[in-house]
Amino acid sequence: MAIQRGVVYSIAGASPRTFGAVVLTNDDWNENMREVGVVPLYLEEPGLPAPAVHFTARRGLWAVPGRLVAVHKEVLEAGLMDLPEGAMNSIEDALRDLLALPRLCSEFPMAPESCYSKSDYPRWSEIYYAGEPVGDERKRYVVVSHNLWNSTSQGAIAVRTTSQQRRYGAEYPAIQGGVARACCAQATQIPTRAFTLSVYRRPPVRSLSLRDMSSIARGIVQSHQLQAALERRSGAVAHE
Amino acid sequence: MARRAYIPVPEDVERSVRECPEEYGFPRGVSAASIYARMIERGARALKEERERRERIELYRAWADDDESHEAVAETMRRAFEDGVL
Repeated sequence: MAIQRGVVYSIAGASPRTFGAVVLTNDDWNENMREVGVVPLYLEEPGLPAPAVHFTARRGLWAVPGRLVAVHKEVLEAGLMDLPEGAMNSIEDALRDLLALPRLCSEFPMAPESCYSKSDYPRWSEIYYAGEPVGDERKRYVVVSHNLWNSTSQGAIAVRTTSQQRRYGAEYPAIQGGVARACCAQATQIPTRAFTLSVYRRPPVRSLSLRDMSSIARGIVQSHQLQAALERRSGAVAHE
Repeated sequence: MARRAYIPVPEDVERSVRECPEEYGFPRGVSAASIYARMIERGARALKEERERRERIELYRAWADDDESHEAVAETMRRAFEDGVL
């Protein structure tokens, strides 16, 4: 089954309150790769801090762009509908802002605004081990969502990094001076408790430079086709 | 600002532009130069996008068989199901 961006699919094994998920990764990616990036749509209002996008398409639905998830294509079942353009734009815009893309993709990149919180949470640009070991190693993730979201939502969007020296390019930018790659298209929500936050159990390289974070942001713009969302933001700023 | 250029135009294109400008979305009477100018502008953009797309697909294919990615996504996906994210 061809998976298409902007189409809502039902998900095998999803919870009863999940209506489906809309695909965000671009169609060249969707055609060639085994995983795709989706934002789940819920039948009830999720009890999460903003941004949640509420819209009506056949029925009332809520999308939480901060819950962007990478999934295997096999779990996507029937295509339920094309998401209305307005709802798609709202999801893209919310994701753009969660990832601070306008600041990071500008000519002179800037970090997202800082956020004070006493609690321990995964922080933007920091690298952590997360999840159960896969094979004999734990995976490293760099946090790409801004800290206001990370400190309030019990999770963060993160991108896996790898030391594999395969070809690099926009969606797999070379980071850490070229010794690693970031898998931008597999940006995914990870709950706070799955990150190893202890400073004693962090990878040797604990954070990425602003330059690397800018490269990753540009990679996500390509992989999740967020160019139009960036342009909408530029247009809005020009009108302000 | 545009600069003038002297370039060879394939005969069939020249004839088509002269005889049927509406095929290119232009009303009759529009100068051939303005049609060629638009063609060059659009053509340049299309060629660039085509090259970028080709490179993008080559990059994806270089990673398409990456089992590490597949396993990592399986792990985050499993958690998303358990936590009710999906």
